[in-house]
Amino acid sequence: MGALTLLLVLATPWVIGCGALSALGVRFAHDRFAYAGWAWLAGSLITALFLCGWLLFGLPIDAFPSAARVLAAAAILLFARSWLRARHAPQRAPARPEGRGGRLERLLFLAVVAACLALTVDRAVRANAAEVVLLGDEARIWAGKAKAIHVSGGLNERFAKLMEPEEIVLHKDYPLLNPLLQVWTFAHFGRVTDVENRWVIQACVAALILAAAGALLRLARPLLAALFLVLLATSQQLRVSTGLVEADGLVALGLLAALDLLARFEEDGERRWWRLAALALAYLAWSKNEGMALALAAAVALFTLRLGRRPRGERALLFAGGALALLLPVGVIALHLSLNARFGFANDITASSAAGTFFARVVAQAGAHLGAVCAFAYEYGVRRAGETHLMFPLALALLLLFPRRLGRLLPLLTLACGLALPGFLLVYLGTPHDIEWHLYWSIQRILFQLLPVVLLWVAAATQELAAAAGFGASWRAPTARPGSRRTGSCFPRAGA
Amino acid sequence: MAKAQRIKTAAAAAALAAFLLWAAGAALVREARILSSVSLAERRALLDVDLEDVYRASAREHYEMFTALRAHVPRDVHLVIYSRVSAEQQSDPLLGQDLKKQLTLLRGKLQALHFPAQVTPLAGEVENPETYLALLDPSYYVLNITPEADFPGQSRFDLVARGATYALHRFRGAD
Repeated sequence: MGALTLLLVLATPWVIGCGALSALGVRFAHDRFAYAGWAWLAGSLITALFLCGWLLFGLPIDAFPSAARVLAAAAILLFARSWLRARHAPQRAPARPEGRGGRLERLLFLAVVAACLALTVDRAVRANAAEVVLLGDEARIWAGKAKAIHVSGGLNERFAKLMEPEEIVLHKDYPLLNPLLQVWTFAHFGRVTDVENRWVIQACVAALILAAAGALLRLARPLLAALFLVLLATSQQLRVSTGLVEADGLVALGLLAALDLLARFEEDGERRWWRLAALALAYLAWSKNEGMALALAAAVALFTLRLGRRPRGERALLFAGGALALLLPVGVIALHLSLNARFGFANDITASSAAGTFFARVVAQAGAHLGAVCAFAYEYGVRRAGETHLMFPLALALLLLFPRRLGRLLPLLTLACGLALPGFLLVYLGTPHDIEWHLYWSIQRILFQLLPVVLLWVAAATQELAAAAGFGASWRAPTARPGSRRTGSCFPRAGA
Repeated sequence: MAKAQRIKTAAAAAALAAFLLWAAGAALVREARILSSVSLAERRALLDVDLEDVYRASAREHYEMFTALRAHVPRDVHLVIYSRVSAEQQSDPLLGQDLKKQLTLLRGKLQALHFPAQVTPLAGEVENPETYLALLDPSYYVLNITPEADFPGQSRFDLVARGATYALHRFRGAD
């Protein structure tokens, strides 16, 4: 019974996600690897949003799984309709990248993806068999909040009262996506669980592997993509995230998916990517406070790159059409902020302290904190090679060595990271906590959240350099299908 | 492209490829070491693990206590962990710290495993017993981890469960 229940916990959001992808016009053939990851992202977000609304309306938690199954049934119908339409309409297969490895190389890549997924499942099983949710942030932040929601029966006054004492749940202001996914598990089992609630968060790490596989294969030949996927799957923090019910895996998935999908939209102008990217941005913003900052960085990067690239009339049209999709991430952020205001949950970093407001602290502490930030960044980004496989210094080195060739590589990703890093630096400069304590407990996670996109960049750079040296084709994406709308690309040809 | 630039690019590509192969190889060796620490049979057994056994292993010496809590105590109550310590023990710099640490750890474990609404550690005597008793209501439970000794106001509580290392009481109300 437990195994069947767990299957429903995992399968229902995924089916809902497949239905959502169908509604957005995204098919399995568009990306055979990333599709399953996107389906999980979309489905888990929709399930959590639906559950949030359910709780706000005061409906019983235990009745929610049945309601979700109705949603899943609707998703199946949507998927079936889309599949039948695709069968009967003449469809052109998505263009394959040129010179992207033979059949054997692609089979090898498939084997590596399967091995990385198997490794993720193995780690999850071992972690769940070793200890229940008991220690650290997974117990005191994420599971604690989920238990408070379940025990109080919803997002109500009883929940507000349960959360009052300082020591009950830490970081009360953190977004609800992770806790709601755990409540989803509790609702299926009819009680607070001690281990089963990990699976729904561990599934996000599996989705990250799949989304990364699809994104890497777009940018690099299969052999190279496989190498980078191995580096991601063997990074220290991904191993840690696979064993815990924390939210860093969700942030990493949301950021990778959002930037990859926005890049696809920039390349071929297909609106399905824009809409799915908006969903990914909502997922990212609702995963953790860092996710919200990263979503804003991605949005600012996108609009910065688009400014001045198009004639006035077309830009206005594009922005008008695209703005509707952005209602979702904006709405999610508004929901999060309004719930925090309702329950009085304040952020410890941005709130004023005895030392003054956040910006006053930044000014006062910058000199004292900068050294510590640099020291920790060196320790975890460079000296401990296993943490991030030296990807951050490598990316920087490549950019400095080949500024013309690589300077305009994946501009959206580069600019988004370029905006995010100073943002994180500001947080450390203005923190009200002891700086070394704050860095010790957070910098590894920050690096992990950015690692998949940095790996993407280095993979594209490697492919580009290899092509320039005469080994294989450039990273450039497949040419657009004839007839598809192009809105102009943010990916100028290398060397242009 | 100028020859020098071509050489530079080719050298960088080769160095990059070598580094990536080394990094991935080292990572795979590390991973293989971790994977080989658990045999295939053990791995298969993990798929079928009894989650109650995992709970028991996590609760350790407190398993019996937590089982009693699960059976008798709702999750949204106020739980007081009481430990009888003498004034001398409390003021002892080493022993007092150790006792405080034990209570803190148990409190953390309780909130993680059982999530009562609030867990208050209480050790030794209560300074103002009448004020303390006036604050109690039926949502209060006391978990006495030194069951051989009474705790303040015990006469107003009903015994719910008892084990070798604990006694669980629920506040009855005013006499």
